Amino acid sequence: MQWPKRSANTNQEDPGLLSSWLPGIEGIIEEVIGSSRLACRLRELGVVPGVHFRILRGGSPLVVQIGEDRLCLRRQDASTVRVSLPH
Amino acid sequence: MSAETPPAATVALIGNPNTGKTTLFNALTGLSQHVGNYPGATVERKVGRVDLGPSGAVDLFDLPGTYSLAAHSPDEILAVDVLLSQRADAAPVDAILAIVDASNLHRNFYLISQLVELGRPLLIALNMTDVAQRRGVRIDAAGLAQRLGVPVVPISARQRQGLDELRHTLAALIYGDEPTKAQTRPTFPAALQRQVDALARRQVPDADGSLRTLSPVEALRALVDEAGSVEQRLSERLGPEFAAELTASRNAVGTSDPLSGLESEARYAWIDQVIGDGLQQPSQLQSHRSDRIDRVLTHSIVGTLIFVAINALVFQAIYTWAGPLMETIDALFGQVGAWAGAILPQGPLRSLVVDGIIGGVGGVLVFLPQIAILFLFIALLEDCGYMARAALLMDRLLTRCGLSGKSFIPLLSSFACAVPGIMSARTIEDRRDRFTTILVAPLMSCSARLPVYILFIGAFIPDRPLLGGFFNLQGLVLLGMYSIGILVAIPLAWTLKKTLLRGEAPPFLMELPSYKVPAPRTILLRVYHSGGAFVTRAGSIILATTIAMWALAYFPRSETVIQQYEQERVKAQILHQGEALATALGTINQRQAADLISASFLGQAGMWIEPAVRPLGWDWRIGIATLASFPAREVIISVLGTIYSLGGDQDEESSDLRAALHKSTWPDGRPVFNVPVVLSIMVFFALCAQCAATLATIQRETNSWLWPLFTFAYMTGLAYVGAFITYQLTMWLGWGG
Repeated sequence: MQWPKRSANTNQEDPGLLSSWLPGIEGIIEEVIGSSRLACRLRELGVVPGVHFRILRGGSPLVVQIGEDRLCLRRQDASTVRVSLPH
Repeated sequence: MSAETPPAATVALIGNPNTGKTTLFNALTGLSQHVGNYPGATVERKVGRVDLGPSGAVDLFDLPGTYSLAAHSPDEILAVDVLLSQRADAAPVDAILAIVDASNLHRNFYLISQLVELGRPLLIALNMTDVAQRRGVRIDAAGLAQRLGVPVVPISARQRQGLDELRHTLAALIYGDEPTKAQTRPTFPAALQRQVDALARRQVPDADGSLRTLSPVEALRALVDEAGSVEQRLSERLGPEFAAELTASRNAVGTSDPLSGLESEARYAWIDQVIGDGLQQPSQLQSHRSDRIDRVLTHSIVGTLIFVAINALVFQAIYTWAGPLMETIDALFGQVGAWAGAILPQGPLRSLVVDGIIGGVGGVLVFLPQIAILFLFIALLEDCGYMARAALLMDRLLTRCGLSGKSFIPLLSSFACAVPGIMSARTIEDRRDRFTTILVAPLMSCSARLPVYILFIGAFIPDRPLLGGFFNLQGLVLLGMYSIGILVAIPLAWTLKKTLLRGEAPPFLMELPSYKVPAPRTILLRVYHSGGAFVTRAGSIILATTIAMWALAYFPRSETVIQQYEQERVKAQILHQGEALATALGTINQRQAADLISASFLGQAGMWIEPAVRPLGWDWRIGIATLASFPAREVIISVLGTIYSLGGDQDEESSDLRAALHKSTWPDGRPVFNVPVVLSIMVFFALCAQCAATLATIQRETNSWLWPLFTFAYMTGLAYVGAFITYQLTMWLGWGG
């Protein structure tokens, strides 16, 4: 049993950005874009392809549940994360 | 055995933030812990002794919490340097004690995946096992230990469980001869690994000129962290061609994907493999109790209202609880001063001891209750996890000023005392944000301004109820004075971020820890250390400058004045006896003190600047008092007391002083003090940098003299302009009566 639910394949069909994701809907991380400090930090914190997430608080800053973590980041910064629906 | 004890081994304690690292450190080291500074750095050095029983003791270094060895903030860079044994002033580390949160194992293991690459003896403390169990998470610690090749000890630092086994295992790690280094480490894609290996063969000159080979860990960081701390440091040592070399190496990996993506995926793959079946937990995204609480507390409207209410409650508690304590301290020092005054002979020494030293020390310690209580609340709110939510709520507003939610705690702390507040800005990663926060922190109305407000509001603002008794005019003016600092700080921070400290708004990324009941021990130790920092750092500087000011107010000692009053004393002794004589002599002494201070260096300076302060509505006496309060603003009250011949032991509640202020007049008979004058004085004190301790702290935290000078200049300028506008405007509005 692995955490967090990680899927073997990442799907390119439903691109979406974390910044436009609706609260409450479970999604899956596709990739973190770029090499900015924020991007590197996000990867260290477990925002990597295949990880399931859910937005707990909308607005800005938004609160994202990544497995056991609750991460807080601004809406515009969340556009560094490409996400999609679980498959 | 031998009578000599070998030097204690050094162990570094490291882990993610919010994993109970501080609780563990306190539990292991108790009161033996010592907090200081790494020389030349602004980062705290926390070390304590851990007794391991018959094997001996070790020195445990508490490193700042970090998620990864890719260091960004000064805190993190220092942690990495200590671990890599890069600091000349820190002994090489004999073992690493890593603390992980059992309820969030995968993310905590990211740091472990880096620690195993260091090749040092490693021990993992698996903390918060009670929380994990409650959430239905079961961990096979033995299996984990076997796969890793390092010991894994389950503990609960708060319940103090497993600590004996931890100490025992630590002793075996250091003094035993079993293999203690990790048996497995992450594997990176071959192309990346080749570049790391190539770079790791590089010779690099050290700070002292000697050559050393780059370690693979550093090489990886240099390649992956573009423009990161390792690259910057190596560019300094190897010259600007190094950056080009790095770029070539990065391109040679041959992928368009960011290197940090390759690294993190490799690490998480390793983590999955190591943890494997050793972790049983529900697979769904779980909802915790903290999430339910957060639905309310982080709600934009309700959450903000609750936040404001908590702030109001905290400040109310401070004023209610601190009052009696402050009076006790005041009385105590008054007694000590009286006693010293009685046994010392007349002369400069007595004045120095009573007015300078005892007055100075007492003046600092009287603020301790307020500061301790505010820090108690801050520690409580931080330990239970609420502070992260407050930073979240404040981020919106702070972003408009060019800052971020992380500036919230330093600015809040500055309402007690800017010294610890500015020190706590170390957690802000971005240099420009950190400096901006430090530069506006002194505008937050600190405890020392309060006596000034109380004196003038109490004496000159009518106690009038407004809006049907709900508000009070005096309270409103007090609130106004507090707000002025904030209202000025907002555009100032915005301007600084647009001009001198220009830069992109750094991203705001923060973990929201689960709510938990604060641990009393941690809280008390935090308050003790913050209070200690205030007393030693602020206190010593305030004392030094108070003594300097005392000298300026004492010398030159005008013989003419003394002779003059001597004649009066002789006359009084002829005219009066007993009680009446005592009273008369008292009055004569006070008037002599007033004239002497006018003749001193300070007094002369006050007279000299009078033309400059006249537009603010001030006379020379207010000028003198304000000059005297530049090292420590609360001094104005006792100086006013002296100038008005009441003796130096007046305080802000003193009715004698209030009466004297009312009676004070210009040569032409006009009263000196009216509402506009009083408002302009308070505005000046709200905005001016009258605290040598704060300026000294700014110098320390920014490592330069430029910034404290800049702070002094801008705040004094703002204060003058503010006081000028206040006076002129309110006089024009006819408030002068």
